[in-house]
Amino acid sequence: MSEKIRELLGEEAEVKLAEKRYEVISEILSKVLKGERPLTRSDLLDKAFLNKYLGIPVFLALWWALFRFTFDVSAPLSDLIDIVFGKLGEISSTYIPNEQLASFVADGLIGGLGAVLVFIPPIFFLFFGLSILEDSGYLARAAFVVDRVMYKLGLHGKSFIPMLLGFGCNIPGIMATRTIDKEEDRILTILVNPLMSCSARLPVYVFVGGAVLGGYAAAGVYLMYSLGIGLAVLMALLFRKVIPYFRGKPSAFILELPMYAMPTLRSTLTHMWRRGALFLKKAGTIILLATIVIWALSAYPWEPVHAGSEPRIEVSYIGAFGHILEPVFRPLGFDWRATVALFFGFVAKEIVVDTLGVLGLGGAEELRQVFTPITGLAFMTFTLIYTPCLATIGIICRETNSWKWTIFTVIYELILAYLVASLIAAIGGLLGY
Amino acid sequence: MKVSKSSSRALAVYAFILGSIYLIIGAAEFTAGLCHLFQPENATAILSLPVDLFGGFSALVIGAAYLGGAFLWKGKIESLGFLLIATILSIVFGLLYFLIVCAGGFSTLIATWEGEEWTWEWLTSGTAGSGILRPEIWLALISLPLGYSVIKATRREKVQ
Repeated sequence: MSEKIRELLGEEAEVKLAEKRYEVISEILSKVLKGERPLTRSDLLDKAFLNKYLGIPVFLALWWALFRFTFDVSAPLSDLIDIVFGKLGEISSTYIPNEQLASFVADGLIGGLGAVLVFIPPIFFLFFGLSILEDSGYLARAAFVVDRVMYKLGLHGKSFIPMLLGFGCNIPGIMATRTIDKEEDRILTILVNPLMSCSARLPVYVFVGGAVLGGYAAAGVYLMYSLGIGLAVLMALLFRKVIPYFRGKPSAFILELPMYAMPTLRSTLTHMWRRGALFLKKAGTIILLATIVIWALSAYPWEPVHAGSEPRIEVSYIGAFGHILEPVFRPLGFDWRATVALFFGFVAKEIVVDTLGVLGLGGAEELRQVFTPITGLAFMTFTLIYTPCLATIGIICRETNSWKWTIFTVIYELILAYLVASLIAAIGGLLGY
Repeated sequence: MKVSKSSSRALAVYAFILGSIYLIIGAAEFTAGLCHLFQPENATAILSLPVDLFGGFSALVIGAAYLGGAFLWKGKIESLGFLLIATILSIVFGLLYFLIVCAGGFSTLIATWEGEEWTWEWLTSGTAGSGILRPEIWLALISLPLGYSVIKATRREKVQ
């Protein structure tokens, strides 16, 4: 039906309707307004924000400011939470006489959960910044600016909003693709949406990047988000060229730009809280449960530790499992603990940090013994690209209504993650890092 | 929209000077950051400016926006939009670097609670090694009068 209308009109019905609507508006305005229409401040801002040459650099600069704000300004608050959990761990180890219970509380609950909860500040700071950009009316302009590039590369302009939502969580991002009319464009956007770095991945970047990248930690986080966007666009282009189902041009994008507005503190804080509360809820449910399971797998079979004996974790169930998986990830420079962390990250990405914490890699010093700056970056990249969490997989299945596309997403992301992480490890090796 | 010729020329000159400073600083920070990325051992700061790849890129963008505003000299009213954006970006980055310095101070304070000695290093070493002396912080202050003039000009027009 839509194809027939397009053939008849020579372009999309939506575009034709919008053109006609604005023609009528112009006619009415010319009759009721005398003289030239005065330029408003919104018009002036649009001249620069939507400028062909400056639009994208301004977007990249603001994005960079957002990440420095997220990473550097929130750092002392994270330190504070870390200190509190450290003290709690010390107290529980000292005062709980039963060795197994003390290990459960100190290494499992406090070590694991604490490793995740220190990321409350950066996550809330990120959402605070995003809310300001959204409430000011800039994000809609960003969609408009990015659409120029995305359309050329084969992605529908309406894909930008779902992809932007993916920065918070991929689930609403994927659900927002319902606004895309053309089925092929919609499925294509769903397939690449998990490449947008959701807030669950931020703790991994902050944790590993902060420990191994030194002064370049914020740049590392920025790189991950930019890489996510870049890969999403590249994969969309590749799928459109290679998979016959997606061939053809994406349909046109019509966006009504809202007026610019000064964000109020109340609305910004409300938006921040709504989005950030999801992380807190997850910490109290899935992550807590995963912490208990991972601790149990890392502590049992319970062997008394003697001087000269192997550390308990090495002979635990998780240790045995990790050593089986390790050869696959060795070329990327990941040891068995990093490998196990990635494995449990299938459930939810925050669990990567949680697992590292339970497996004794909860501090920067310990992480630096396992990762070099390059292998740390490769680990961050693998976390960015590989299979999204279980809930996202479920939503992909529901929204595409196809197991075929769901399995395809899981497999292509795993392969892509391995390839890109290998590339980083190899190039870093060649450069002598 | 009309701005008097003398005002627009004054704004254009102000924008040109600020834009040029931002471009020089951005180029120096960006180049040093790029060198540091590929040759960390040999990289040195240029003109004692921070070694900051993306910070330098952002300064270049601000500089370009200011220079876009300098076309006000030719009476191009649309250039006011570039000046507005350049001022917004300038204030965003100035405030950001200032907050980073403050966060560094807070971190040092927390470290003293843990038994470490209080130092003033955070004031001079944050934000890629320049602390409170990071030029973008001071340039943000210098750009305020320009931003105020542009806002005043556009507000006045809206009332008319």
